[in-house]
Amino acid sequence: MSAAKELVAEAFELHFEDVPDDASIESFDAWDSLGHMRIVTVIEAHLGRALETEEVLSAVDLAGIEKLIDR
Amino acid sequence: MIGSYTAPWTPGAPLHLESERFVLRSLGPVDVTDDYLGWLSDAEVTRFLHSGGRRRSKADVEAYVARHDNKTAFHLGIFAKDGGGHIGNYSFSCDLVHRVGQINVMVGDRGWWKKRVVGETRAAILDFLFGPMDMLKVIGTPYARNVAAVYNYQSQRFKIEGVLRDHRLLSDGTRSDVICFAMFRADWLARGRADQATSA
Repeated sequence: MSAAKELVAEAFELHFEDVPDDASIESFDAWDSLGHMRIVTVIEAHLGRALETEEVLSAVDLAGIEKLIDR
Repeated sequence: MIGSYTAPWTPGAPLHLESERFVLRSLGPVDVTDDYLGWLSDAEVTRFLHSGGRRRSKADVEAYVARHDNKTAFHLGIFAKDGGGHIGNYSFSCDLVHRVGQINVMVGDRGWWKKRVVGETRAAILDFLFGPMDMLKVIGTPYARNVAAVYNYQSQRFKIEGVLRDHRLLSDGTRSDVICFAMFRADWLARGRADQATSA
């Protein structure tokens, strides 16, 4: 999940190694609403399109983000 | 603070709730200040509100506030304890037959956006709704494109019940899906027990 971790690190302006492997919207303190908006923006930039509603809802942990960007 | 609501409350009487940083209390017409009216004419604040950006007079808003009876319909202001004044509002209603509550929030003071206001204050309201109001389920229906609001529901572990497609018209002429989120009483109270166990 290194690609997802890189995107999350970019969104939160953190070093890659500061993002826990189990980072999620519920467990990672740095994952606030501003960071979440940035994550959505970063994923959309990566994919080159706007996310569908279900895709936004799935971007709540590294595994979900990895699935989104791996399509 | 899950499951911790203990203050006395009489149906019809003004409601007063507290969280760590905020006081939530029933509003009256006197609370319809220039700040409150200013939020309703701020396109950024109203962009994702179900009430939309309709123009309303002070009298209209005062009448809206007065309609809440503090029995099944509540309109609370969010007041920052640390001298921040009135920063936003909650409206929520309770169906006493089906025991389902519905909740809406507006943080009007943009200086308080992205400061975890909603997660903290909505927890106090959920304690009230699952406590004295005896609700079994509380729902919220943010616009899908309101990513900050969606974040607030997901981080508070509301369940996703469905998506209403193209359900709301935005001011730019596009349409937004609406997401149906739900918190069940059993889940909320179980979380409280779990939190107490881990903090013991």
